[in-house]
Amino acid sequence: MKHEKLLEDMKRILGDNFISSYQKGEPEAKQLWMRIKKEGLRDAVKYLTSLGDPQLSFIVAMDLEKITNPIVEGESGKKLMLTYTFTMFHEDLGGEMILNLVVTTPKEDPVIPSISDLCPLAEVYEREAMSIVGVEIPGVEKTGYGKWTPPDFPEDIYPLRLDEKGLPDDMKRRFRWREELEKKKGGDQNE
Amino acid sequence: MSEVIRKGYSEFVRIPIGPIHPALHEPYYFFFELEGEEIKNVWIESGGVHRGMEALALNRNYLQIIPIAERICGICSNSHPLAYTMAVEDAAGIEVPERAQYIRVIAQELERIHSHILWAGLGAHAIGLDTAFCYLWCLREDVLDIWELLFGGRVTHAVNWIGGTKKDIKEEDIPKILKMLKNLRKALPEVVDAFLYDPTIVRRLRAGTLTKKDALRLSALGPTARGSGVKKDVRWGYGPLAYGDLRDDYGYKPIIHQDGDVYAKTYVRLMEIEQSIDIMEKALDDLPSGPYRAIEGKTPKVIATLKKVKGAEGIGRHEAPRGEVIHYVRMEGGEGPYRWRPRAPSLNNNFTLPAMLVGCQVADIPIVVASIDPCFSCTDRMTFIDENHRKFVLSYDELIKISREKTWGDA
Amino acid sequence: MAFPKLVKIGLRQLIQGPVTNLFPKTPPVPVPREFRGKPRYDREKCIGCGACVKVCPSGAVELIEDPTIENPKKRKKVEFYMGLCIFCYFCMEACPVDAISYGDEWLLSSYDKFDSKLIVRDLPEREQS
Repeated sequence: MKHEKLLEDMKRILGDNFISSYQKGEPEAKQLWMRIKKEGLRDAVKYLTSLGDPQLSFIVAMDLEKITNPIVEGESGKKLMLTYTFTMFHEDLGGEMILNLVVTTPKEDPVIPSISDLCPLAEVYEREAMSIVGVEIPGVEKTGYGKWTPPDFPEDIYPLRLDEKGLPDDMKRRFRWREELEKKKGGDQNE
Repeated sequence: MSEVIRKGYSEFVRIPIGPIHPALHEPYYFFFELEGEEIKNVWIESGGVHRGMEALALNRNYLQIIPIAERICGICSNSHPLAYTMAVEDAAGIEVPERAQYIRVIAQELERIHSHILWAGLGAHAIGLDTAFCYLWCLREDVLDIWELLFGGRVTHAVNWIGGTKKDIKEEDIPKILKMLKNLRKALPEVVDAFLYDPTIVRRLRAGTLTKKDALRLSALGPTARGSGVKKDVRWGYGPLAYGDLRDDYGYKPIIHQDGDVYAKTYVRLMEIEQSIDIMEKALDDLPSGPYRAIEGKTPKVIATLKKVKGAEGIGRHEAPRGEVIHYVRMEGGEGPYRWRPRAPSLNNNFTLPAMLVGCQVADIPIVVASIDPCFSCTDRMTFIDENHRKFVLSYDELIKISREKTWGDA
Repeated sequence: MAFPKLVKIGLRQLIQGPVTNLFPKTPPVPVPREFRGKPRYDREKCIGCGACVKVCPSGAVELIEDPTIENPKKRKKVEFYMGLCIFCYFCMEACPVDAISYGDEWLLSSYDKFDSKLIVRDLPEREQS
């Protein structure tokens, strides 16, 4: 089966950098979730390029600060997580599957290697990850297509961080409609 | 002649509009480097709009996110909430009843029909065929009426529900849907023939080629990829919902075209309308009986069920009219998801525009940009840099005007 | 002309006349059976559980106390602010006693956000009397 071969090859190539994996869908996997170390990310994507151009769907950036039920041990606390989602075997009707490569990095050292030379689209999502959770990806500029924060946004604030670097309360907009309503109601009572 | 035009444009640049044009859609910047009329280089810049939907979702519960997802895109207003509910179901391991799956397929195909007709109309408008534009939008009106009849709204359908659908399709409504589909089948070929065989239109659509190699390299999605010969369709490849069954029963295949230009994308979209009509007829025919929700009961029950799921991640994906829509949900036992990440297909497809636009003429920009169907918003405002590195800005109206002059001549 | 097919469509549409309804000169097109318009809220059925307040995505439902009701335990009722409503009808899905149902009123434009026709307090027929 295709996903078993994929898994075997990945294990062989990554070696120590492979942590764990699980699949959804029986017997043919629909989704393959693979936890790898960030050192092995480029090797894994390089292997995917050998199967044809990797079809990147998206990269999800996440802050693991408030995770209480980690899926894999150690996947919580002061860490950032990136999930790279690839579409595999799209030419095969009924056999298409998703490969998720999950990479974590501690917040003190938020550097993750760039894969944009292997898969050009990744640059857009890497920029997004840089601007919303503050991952550092060497070789990728924080401007241009895919930078999702406004131009006048402060440099060291990341909107989706759940710690002190996240959005401060004074930057969050109040719900003005509600204030007006309360004012109106108060006015009615005074009359 | 070119001098006169340039003078006109440099006068235009003094009008301070933007970065977000008040009259137009989403803000995107295009920077073009021109050599005469030919485009040599393109840059895109995004980030003009920040809606903060993912941050907004951090303090909403599972059900409250459905309407937020519905408002990501006005045209894909069924695809996004559907992908979100599928992601939650995938993470929580909820099995969706078969009837709900068929209702979802019907809703989704209705959306595809309406979106592709809308696209064909806007494409026709961009090249100056207002007869086709008005006629197609008149046909689309019938589809919207069916939406209204089935789900109570014309644009926001509010049909998605975690573990099923919010509303059932009633037996007495089915003949009305079939009648609408029959009318559409009869009325469409007139316009389709004009698009595919009329020499003037075909000449105008032969621009903006995306090669198969580029489509694969840039991970293009949906009709943009299929127009370049990439067999990539989530419906038939991945088989979400009842699409897998329909594929096995009736042998549906992705519609592809090898040319890769605007004509090929038009062909793919127009043929998909017919395919969607066919799928809807088959799905209505096969509509199984039974429950249409996996979680019986009112909203507190649904939220309580989802609250029990801890430490799960899920992905929901399926084919929207513009390509694959994919949502990621991480559940941590709260009333709402820990992280919700939606992705619209235009994000991948916009990245293919530079590859398509290089070598085109300025007058081709509206139709080439429209060909990926970026909610037709990308022609917001464009900056041109000519050989002397002078910048000038073209408005949407100006671009449409030159595009039309190319079809009809200077008259 | 180079478009015999489209010319045919154009001429046919000329003879047919407009397909659009010239509202407000003519009466509006009737809305279907389960149209999602201004919700109908039955105040007498309402038990004040607050399930709709909890699920409303836009915060258009507000829990209030009705001082005119004698029994203080049954004073909890809700009000709907149509200026915020997005017509998703999740409140109807939440209501355990079916006090909320589909309404077909859609002419809701107003200059004032707190216009009395934009606040639903009870069934329209009961409110008038």
